[in-house]
Amino acid sequence: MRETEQWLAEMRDHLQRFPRRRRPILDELADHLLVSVEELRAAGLDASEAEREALRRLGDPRPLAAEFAGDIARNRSITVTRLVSAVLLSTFGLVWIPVILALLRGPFTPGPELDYVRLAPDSLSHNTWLWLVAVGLAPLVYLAAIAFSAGRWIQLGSVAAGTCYLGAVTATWLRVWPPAWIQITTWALVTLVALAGAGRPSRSVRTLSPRLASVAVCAIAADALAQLLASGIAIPHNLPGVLMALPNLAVLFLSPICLIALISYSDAHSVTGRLSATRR
Amino acid sequence: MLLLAGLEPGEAHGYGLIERVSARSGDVFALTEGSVYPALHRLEAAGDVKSRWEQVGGRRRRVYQLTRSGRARLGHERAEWTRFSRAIDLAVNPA
Repeated sequence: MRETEQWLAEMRDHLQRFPRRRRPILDELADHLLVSVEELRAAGLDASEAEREALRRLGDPRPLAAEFAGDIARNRSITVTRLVSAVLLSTFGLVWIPVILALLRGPFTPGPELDYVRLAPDSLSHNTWLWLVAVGLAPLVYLAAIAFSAGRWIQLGSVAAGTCYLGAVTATWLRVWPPAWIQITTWALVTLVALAGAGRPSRSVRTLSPRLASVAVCAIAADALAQLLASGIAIPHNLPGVLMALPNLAVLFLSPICLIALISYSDAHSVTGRLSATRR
Repeated sequence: MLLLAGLEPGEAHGYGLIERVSARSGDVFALTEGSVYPALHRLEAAGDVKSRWEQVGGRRRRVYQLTRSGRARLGHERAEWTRFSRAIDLAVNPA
């Protein structure tokens, strides 16, 4: 069974990037080879002939490993996309739905914690800079994770950055209007919607949900960054203010759509391309 | 669809499934063995099959079975195939 061991060792080498998934794949293939050899020997082949034939039928380990690796990377990418999307999408509700609810109830004045957007950059507090870093890093790392079907560290970083973003926005809002129960209820509802979309309701929703969530994520980040960069624009606190901000918001929402569409396409294309190249 | 149909009578491990599909097709279809496992894993990721591990002769064996979603998908794909193959048959052998 030396050839079988060599075949499995080669497979193991090709899947070294995925240590957790490698073991069950190797166990399954090893079982397949043993059953195959037993059947071929029962059909009259001698041991070495049966082993060679079983390996020939299973094929070259390199393209097979590439196929497994492509699927694992794509599944990881989808999982991370769903997770981070759900976390970041929930901040959309956290930030905007309370604002809209407040507008429907009449004009309101943001709390003092929101005044940082009117400050010059050199007077920003330490905490505000941390908030800025979290807001800036989250979409960048997140996009990198999608664009490159990244390894585990970038994906972990993506999740961590997303969580920081959520934490930062939550912390900001919990100290100001509106009451905590509105924020928490809104956050929970939007998260449930996002998670439902990221689940397995149907094939089309499964495909669309991460894309839509990605758009929302970029929109939130772009909007937040734009407000901070403008340094002087506060969140509009009445209906005329919202109406005046709409064109700007439209631009902020549309540009990430193009970006995400391109990245999603190139990601799928690159996985397929890698597999084709390996098969050739 | 062949894999889903192969799992319809009951659960099977990869090798058994290949044999079952081959036997059901009258030995016309010989699935490429290497392609079966990634395909099964994709079906599992899509929720159409589920798997469990069992011990056989001191080694681990992965056994697959259809899920409810997989049965629904099989029904849908089977109907599509029937419609398609009838159309081809009508085109090739007009009455």
